[in-house]
Amino acid sequence: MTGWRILQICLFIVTLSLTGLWVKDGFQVFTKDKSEKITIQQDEIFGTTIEKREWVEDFQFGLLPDDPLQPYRSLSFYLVVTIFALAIAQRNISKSSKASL
Amino acid sequence: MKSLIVLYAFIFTTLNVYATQLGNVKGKKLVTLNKAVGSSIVKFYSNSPFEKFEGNSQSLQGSFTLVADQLEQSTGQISFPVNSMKTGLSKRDDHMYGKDWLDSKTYPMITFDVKKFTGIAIKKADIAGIEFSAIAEGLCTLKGVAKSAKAKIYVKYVFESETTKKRAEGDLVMVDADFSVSLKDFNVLGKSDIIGSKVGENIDLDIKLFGNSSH
Repeated sequence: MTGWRILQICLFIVTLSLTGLWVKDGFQVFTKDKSEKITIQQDEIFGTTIEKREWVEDFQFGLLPDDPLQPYRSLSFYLVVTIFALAIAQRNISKSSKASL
Repeated sequence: MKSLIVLYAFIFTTLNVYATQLGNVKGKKLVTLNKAVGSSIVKFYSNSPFEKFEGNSQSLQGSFTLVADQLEQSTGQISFPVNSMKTGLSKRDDHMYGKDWLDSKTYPMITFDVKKFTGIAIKKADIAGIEFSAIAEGLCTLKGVAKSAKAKIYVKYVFESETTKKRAEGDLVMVDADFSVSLKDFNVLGKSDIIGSKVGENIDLDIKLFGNSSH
């Protein structure tokens, strides 16, 4: 197996992992730096449930970066890099296989 | 027997004369938002083709006066600082506070002045309290622009008891309110064509208020 083929497999695994993380974080459009901790409690006096909401520092991976100056904080950045690298790797694999013929 | 009927009729009439829309509550009741009663919150939702997001502010302050004899005449003012609005994305929050959007430096507060209640419907009345729905009509002020607004409200008014005293003095009140604001109406234009694509033209507000009455 050539180095290019190994690179292709590694990039594919990285992309799959990051996509999994994006799905796990709830298909966020933009990367978030906070998430809301919601606690639901029964309110006996008003006879209803009430929510206690609190913002906590929490990185949630998004499709697009939260800051345009930090594009690496997004899935789309890695998708673009991966696709580009996969194309280069494929081109080199094709070249080397033609050369060996 | 005849005198007994007359007595019953007298008691019934007397009770009805003195009972108000808020049961045995008389006169005006000033209700002030109080964290001890519950966490007041305004949640806002933006719905647009390319992005949906929500956020909230939990820094509401204010009070309202319920006029027991004539709930229609109830008034009040609720406000919250623009800088207390959070969406979970600091960059977006910073943009939201900026000049193109809510301009928090020049207009630090968003307020809702209640001028009157209309369409009052008593939903429940018992020894514990009263529940009613209504439309709160008033003025919403955002980015220095005041526009008339109507909010659907549902009020739960709980009379003071040994149980309520553990939370706060006086009668306890919870208000659920819903209304919508059009950003364009308040001169919130944003940058380029973001409104309508990434930010909803109308922002839906879901408000929950908790307060207690002063003696």
